[in-house]
Amino acid sequence: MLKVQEIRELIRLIDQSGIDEFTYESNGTKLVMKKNQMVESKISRNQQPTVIEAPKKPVEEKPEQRMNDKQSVKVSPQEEQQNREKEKQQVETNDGDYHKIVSPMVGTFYRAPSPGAEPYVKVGSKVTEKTIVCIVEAMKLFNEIEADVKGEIVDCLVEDGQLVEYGQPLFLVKTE
Amino acid sequence: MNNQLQLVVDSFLKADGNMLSMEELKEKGCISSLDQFGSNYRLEQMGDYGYRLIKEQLLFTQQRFTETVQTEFIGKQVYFFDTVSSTQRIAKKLTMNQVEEGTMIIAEEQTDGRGRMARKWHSQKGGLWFSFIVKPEIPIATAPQLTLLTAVAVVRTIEDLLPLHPKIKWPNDILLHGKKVCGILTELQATDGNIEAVIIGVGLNVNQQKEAFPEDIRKKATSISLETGMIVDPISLLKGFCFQFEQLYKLFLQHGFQQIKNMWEQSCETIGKEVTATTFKGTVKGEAFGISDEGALLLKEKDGSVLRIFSADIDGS
Repeated sequence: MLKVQEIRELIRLIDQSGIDEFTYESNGTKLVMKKNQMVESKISRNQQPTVIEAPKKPVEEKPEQRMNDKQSVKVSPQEEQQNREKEKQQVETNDGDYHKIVSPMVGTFYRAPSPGAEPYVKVGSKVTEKTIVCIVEAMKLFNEIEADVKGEIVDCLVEDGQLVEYGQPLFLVKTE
Repeated sequence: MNNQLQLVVDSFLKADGNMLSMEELKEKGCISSLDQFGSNYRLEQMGDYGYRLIKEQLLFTQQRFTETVQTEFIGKQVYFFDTVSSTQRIAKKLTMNQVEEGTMIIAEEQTDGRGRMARKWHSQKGGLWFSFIVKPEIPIATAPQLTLLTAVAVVRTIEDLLPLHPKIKWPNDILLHGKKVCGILTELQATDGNIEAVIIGVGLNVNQQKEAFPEDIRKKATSISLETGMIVDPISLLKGFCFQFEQLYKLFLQHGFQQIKNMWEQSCETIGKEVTATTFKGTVKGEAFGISDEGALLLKEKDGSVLRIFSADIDGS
């Protein structure tokens, strides 16, 4: 796997270069970067390896305009930094309120024991540690995922039939 | 038989697999009168789970099996049944209590055998229907590899005993001359991120004749007997399987998946073919060019992009 810093460095280099499209593949990880055009999203096809879209190059900005922008927005870099940190903290505390049930393996997420059946849990369902909340399947191994906490389901984060990665959050539970 | 005993016997006979858990027995208040049954039946304790009523003849079959199976733990504790809903369901019941690794449930007939997506698996007499429990100390993420391992064990069992060369269709269907002879389905139970039990269910068509299969699957399904013209002893196959599985399982626990993967690839018929994969969300086409280290099927689409398939029905296109 590439480190975030490495990906960032790649984006920077490609951004500066004349390359329009860049693909990197290693050990089942695939990284696709495209410039100046929309990447045809295939994420809905659940087997697609991670697709990372490089930030689009800003559309021809005139230096003067940029200057103006800077003048009109009177936020110093330090303040900006502080704001960003505040936001980050807020997101973290929001997430921290809820317990995340995560997938213990890569596979297909199923909300119900069989197609057309009632889902194991819905938003609002009360769960205990032993409640089965979903199935993750890979290579015909069916893993019944237990809540592992007592509480109430407040959100289901993935769609039925979607491919989920190792450690990916599946549900948010408001613990008791 | 006195009335109370008759009631106990009736409750046993009505229950799935003629099994009653300790709780159910206590509810009926009949633990004290469990000793005397008719001469055809015996009472057998099933670990911590409870008891079942078993025909004397089956009890002998069971004893003979455990005495002769050439393994250390796979199939060393077995429960043979005439008829159960599904061996998988019985095995799951047993995992609710302490259960020995390698414990196996075998039924002559299943009334509610299931495949992937809750599809019905026809499991009438003449086939070999069994589920067994393993408790590997491995990360959950690598547990799906066990289903590929099981397929290799079935292939080796058949190759060892019969003049046949089964092929594996990803991930673990076993084919004879292009028709499905065996299906494998596995369930995993975990608590706090640790595997408690993996329950592996195997359905192998052994002595069924053509008429035994419903018309709609006759073109796709076969049995060992249909392919060889022989009647084969299912118990010998089962013993062979226990041996092969245990060997591979030990290898897997010691050295990981790589060698198993090589064996799997040697018997696989999916790799190198243009296939259609029908997933929950639709179909994708491409060339199956290998499996990942996890066991996922790798498909190359026309535009060159690579897909990892974890769950799908695969058809040659």
